[in-house]
Amino acid sequence: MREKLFFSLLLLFMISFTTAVAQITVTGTVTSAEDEEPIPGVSVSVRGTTVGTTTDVDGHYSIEVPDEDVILEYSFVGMQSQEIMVDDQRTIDVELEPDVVGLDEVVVTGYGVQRRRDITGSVSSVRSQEIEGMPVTGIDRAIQGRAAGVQVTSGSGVPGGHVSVIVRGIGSFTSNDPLYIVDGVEIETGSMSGRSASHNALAGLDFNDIESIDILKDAAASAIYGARGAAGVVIITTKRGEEAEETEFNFEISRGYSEGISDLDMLDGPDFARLNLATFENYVGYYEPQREFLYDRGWADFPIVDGEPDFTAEPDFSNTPHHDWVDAVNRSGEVWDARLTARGGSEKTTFFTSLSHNATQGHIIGYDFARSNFRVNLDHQATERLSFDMQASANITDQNTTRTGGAFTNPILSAYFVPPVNRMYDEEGNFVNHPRDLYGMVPSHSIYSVEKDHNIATTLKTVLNMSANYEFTDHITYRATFGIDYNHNDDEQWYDPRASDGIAANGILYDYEYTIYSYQTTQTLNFNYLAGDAHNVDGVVGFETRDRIFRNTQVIGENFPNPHMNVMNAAAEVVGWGGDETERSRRGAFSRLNYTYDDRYMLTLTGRYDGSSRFGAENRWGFFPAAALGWRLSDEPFMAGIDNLDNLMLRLSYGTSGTDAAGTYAALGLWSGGTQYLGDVGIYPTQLPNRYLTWEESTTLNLAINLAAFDGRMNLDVDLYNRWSEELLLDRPLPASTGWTSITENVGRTLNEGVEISLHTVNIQRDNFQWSTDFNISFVQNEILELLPGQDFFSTRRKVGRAINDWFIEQWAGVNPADGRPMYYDKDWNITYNPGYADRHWMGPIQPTRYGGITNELQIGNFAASVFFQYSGGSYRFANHNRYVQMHNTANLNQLASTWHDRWQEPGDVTEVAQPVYGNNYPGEVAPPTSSTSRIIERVDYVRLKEINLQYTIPRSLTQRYNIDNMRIFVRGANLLTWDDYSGWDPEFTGSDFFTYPQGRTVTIGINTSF
Amino acid sequence: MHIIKSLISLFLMSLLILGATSCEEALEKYPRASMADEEAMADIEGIEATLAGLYNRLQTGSYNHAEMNLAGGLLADQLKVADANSGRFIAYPTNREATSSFSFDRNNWAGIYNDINRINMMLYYIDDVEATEDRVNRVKGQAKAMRGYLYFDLMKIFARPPMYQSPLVEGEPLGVIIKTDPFLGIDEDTFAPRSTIDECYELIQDDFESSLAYLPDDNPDFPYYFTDISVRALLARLHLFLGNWQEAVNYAEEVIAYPDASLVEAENYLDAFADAPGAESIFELGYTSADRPGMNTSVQGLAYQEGAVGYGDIILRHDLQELLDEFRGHGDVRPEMTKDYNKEGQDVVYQTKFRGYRGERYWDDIRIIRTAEMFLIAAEAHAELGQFDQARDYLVELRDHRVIEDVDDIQVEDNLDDFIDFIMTERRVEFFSEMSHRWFDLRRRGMDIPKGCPDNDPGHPVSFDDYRVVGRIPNAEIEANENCIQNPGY
Repeated sequence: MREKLFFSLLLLFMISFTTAVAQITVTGTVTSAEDEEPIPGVSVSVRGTTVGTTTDVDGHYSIEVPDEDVILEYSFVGMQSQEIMVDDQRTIDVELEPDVVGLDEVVVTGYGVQRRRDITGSVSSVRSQEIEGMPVTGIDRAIQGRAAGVQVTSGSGVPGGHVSVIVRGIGSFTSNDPLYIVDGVEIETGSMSGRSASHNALAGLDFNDIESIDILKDAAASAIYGARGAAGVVIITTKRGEEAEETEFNFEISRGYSEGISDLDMLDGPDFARLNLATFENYVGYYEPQREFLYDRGWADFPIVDGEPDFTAEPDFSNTPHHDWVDAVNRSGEVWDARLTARGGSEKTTFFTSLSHNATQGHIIGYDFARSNFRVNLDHQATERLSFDMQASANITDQNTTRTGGAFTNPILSAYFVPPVNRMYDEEGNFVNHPRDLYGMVPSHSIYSVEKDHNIATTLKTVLNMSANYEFTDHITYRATFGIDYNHNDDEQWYDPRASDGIAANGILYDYEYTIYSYQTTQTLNFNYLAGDAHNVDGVVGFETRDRIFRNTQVIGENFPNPHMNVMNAAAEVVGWGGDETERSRRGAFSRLNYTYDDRYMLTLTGRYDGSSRFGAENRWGFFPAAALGWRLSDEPFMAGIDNLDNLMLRLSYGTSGTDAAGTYAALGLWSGGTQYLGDVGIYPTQLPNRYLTWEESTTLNLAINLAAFDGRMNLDVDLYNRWSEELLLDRPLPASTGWTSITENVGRTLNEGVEISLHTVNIQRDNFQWSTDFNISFVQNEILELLPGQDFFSTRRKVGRAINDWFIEQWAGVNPADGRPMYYDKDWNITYNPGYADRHWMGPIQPTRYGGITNELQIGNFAASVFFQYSGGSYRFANHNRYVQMHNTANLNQLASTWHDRWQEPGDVTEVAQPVYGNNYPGEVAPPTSSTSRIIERVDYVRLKEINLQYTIPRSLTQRYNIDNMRIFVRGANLLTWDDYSGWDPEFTGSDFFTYPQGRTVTIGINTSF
Repeated sequence: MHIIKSLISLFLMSLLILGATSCEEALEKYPRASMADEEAMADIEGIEATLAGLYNRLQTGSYNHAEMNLAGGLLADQLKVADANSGRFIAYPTNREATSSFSFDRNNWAGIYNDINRINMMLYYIDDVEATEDRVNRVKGQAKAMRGYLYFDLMKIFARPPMYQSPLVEGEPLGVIIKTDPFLGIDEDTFAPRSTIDECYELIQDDFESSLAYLPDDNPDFPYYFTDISVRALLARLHLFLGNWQEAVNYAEEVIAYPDASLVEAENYLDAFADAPGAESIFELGYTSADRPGMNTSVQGLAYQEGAVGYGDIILRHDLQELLDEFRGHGDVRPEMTKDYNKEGQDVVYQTKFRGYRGERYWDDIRIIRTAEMFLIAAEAHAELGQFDQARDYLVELRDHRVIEDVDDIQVEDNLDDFIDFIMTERRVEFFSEMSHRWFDLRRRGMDIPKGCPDNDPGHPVSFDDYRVVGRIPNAEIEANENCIQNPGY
């Protein structure tokens, strides 16, 4: 897109030189075949020359051509280009068809662009139309299910929360995060916060600004990013201005509502009281203290005999209170979103600018998110050969995650933990807030805490970059880019002195600041050369530097005079502090060469030589080469007879890219300070030196086929690959008797094998009725091939022959029907009651082995709809919350309803729920039972109706009189339906699930106007 | 014109972009929060700072602060976990292993060996640095004493006691892994096997004795550091473990004669724990406001509750409560260091030795050795030597300082069994919720752990032969070190 624009601009400059010889004037109108509306900005040029123009706002153009034998080319983004011989025509009206094929689509390949049909590496692309307006935060979340080979999983549903993007499965023990490049600048990703439960530096980027996302998957594509390419590269290109007589404005506003996807079915008050007493009495028999306790609290009734309760009688639970804590922490989530964009420009200067604001109220109390985003993209043609482009974006996010994880004041956790016999409010309607007032393990009132406390991460992210392009000749262009990525996060976590977490210290304030900024410079020479008709050579050589500085400061204050004086100045005591600055650098030189013969045979050679400051002097530099071959069978003479075949191409690539995800100073032996004894400063060793430390390398062999047929109505891509990851950075466990528990070394080897299929079909294509389908599915399998010489197993969930991070865990064997005791398997799969360390077995993998999505798009007249399903399967999830809500040994925590209703009661009962016995004190058990058994590991497969998008374009005839070019009304739904067996809230997350904020089921209504 | 303009712009842009530094230079990066090995060990200041860092480590909650004071009491018959609790330590009272909260063994193994390696580095580099002999000797003496102390703790947790060495580990009386040289990096391959129990105790004795040669006799660092007198107290304790009764008597009596740590009168005993340094302290770890152990890692946080202060998870077992009531009955002040409390419906008793002094939450000095222990060691060793009169004298003197009224005699027959019974009971009362004494006492004398649930105290008796009496060596050690044999049963 950028190239086309650039080309058109260049053409414009040439006009002044060529008008003198022009003789014939051709005029006409370019309209869209789809809706017959005129298209402004269409490039009209004379083939083989520099003569050209663009259509005006009404689609009119006028061009002077030298003679009648020329061919006019009409091209526009998103439309199929047309070529028309002038002959004796003086008025040529053209209808452009929408470009559904995608073969002429331009793919950003890193330091250059290529037509999709020519590309030899493996690249998945997501285009702006697919993701615009999705009711999610974070561009990483927007590509979920839309790109083959790219697995996107949320760490949680927290608005603005962390998202993991994994390209072709995990292969490294250390880092599987792809590299993100926005308009040529590498940007910081991951969490920027020291207090937020789930923070995402990418959450601030407004994906409505994005023109395309291209994901480089194999080494042939990613080796140009050498040092950081091993886990894939996500290249994000933002929208740019276009020359237009009138600036085009677009305004969109929407409002959405959400609720949590699901809840767990918990015990009510009476059943909780029953379970509570049974747990004690199954252990010690009749236990009067607990009966008396329940009676005193009004949670059990006993018959009154002689004025005293008769505790020996059967307790009556019919008046036991029930308070629904789960309901109390849920609320209706709300999303409000507005954005304004403008794009336009003159011959020399074009711009795109956007301003947007999003405010999200989470569907659980204590979670909120807001984002403001600003962007300007400018292009300026300074002279005939010199041009500049500039991108400036700034966004601020405010994320409140009052409390998460294992904190008792995490509203999600406490809602499920607090026994429902506990009331929330006293007789006067005030919160029951005394810290010890609640019965059970949770001492504190989370709803009150959420009201008084906050945990706000305020993040500013600014990406600024400027490039100069200079065309030495028509074949050689020099480009220099200077970019800054500046990120600042300020965490303010406040434990109010009135609420339970702050009461003991009389208020606690955490004030953390993190700053990460990096400078990047890139210089490239792009060249292309066409020798004769058949030989085409193009390529790039370049040099890049990147320096990154990370700075942080933390201060923790306590003891505040007043809850409203909650800044550090008001703290009577500073009880914790910290601060550090680290710096790392990379230098790299790279080159890529494409050679094409006769548009049939393609060869790409890529190499990058990279140095990283993280490694020891002896192993600092690495070289990452790759080669790829392409063969367009469809252009071979022997295929000429096949009808309806647009393109058939075979691709083969092999190459290596790297990862330098070691710690910043991982190669050095280090001592740290920050401790003292009675005022004497203390130091201690923190890291063993390893001067051999070096790059992780991953080598990919990729075989692919592309088939396009029926005039673009079918497009099939199939990729097969093997990716070997080697020299993996791993904290090799050392025997602790050395004084050290680990040392970072390059050890181990893994293999990822996979198949990726994407299929695009246009099922129906009529004037007023179009239906297309996009389908993709990916299969991936990871296996550890080697760990250490002579050691094929680490207890940290790594074993040769298994996938990375497989679960290694005691096996649940159900409940003994004879006596209600929990049973386990030993290492030989015999029943045991005392499973030990040696009895664990492997389960896995943790990552899905298949995933993908299917999108159907329909357009009927002014009505358009898209329906997107996303699916994933084969992963094993550690449903950690079940360790707590599915126990059979506690009287302290509320439990799943099944814990009481399905419990073992008498010999012969076959059930999965053991007889509840306080503290697991079953006779004869000395070493049981860790609650982490296979019982809480669940295989997760799901299909989700991820998104429905309905929109109606108001006929132009109605809107035009108000100067409105286009007006659409839309309704979107997200996460509306899910088909799964998972016992927890949301099957989409991977790994361990511990009262994680579930995603919302969201419905959004909005309106979009262009004028 | 255009060309010139373009070239000037291009030139300026290139200037901006091309930094002045070379690639190689740009890739040399060093941390600002850390220093390299060579730098840290290059001068006496660095080595002294390493020593300070080690004392800081001794203070941590997972070692001497919370765990060493509470874990043994829970494993033995002193402490238990309240019905309503935060989930901490819940496996301890029933002597269960393999739960995620069981850190008494796991944390200490890695932590103590890390400390030992630091000491080995100090001792390795100390002779290369320039410093006065006094400073060098202070470091050497304290480092050796600390290494002996650390190995002693390792042996107490991970090996059978010296006097009752079986059941054996794969036919051998195995102790722990002995390391006296530093581990400096990746090129080393020192995956050592476990030494015998006797070899380990020889090393401990040798470290203590050789430290005496360096530590000044006038105890300038008393009581917050290892000193001549505290090493003698440790030697008394060591010989008690080894059954060298005469040596135990000799060292204990040397310490008892030390004037700065005499027993306090019963009236003042309660205050002794509220002060720093505490009266009767021979060696204690000092804390300042910069340490702030916090609720999760302090004795007060875990074993005490008042309003919002403390989890109050750890409470006294019922049979210890009864024992204290009996002592209270004859005017003993030690039972007063407890507090009755109603924890969410359960009547519980908390220790109040550690309740945060001077009003500071979670902040108490930790008493590693108190004078009372020397009296009890002297009494036990004398009794073992058949010297019942001397034994009785020490016990009477201790009682006299614990009971408000004057004590002239105690009710015990002149035979060893009765004396041992009396002393073991006295130790239970004197040291509840302190330094896991009860657990190590039962082990050292080869006694069963007398649990039972007469009054709903959790757990079942654990025989001395039971595998759980000895800690599990962390699996990570066994997996990474093929020469290290796990204790049987794990």
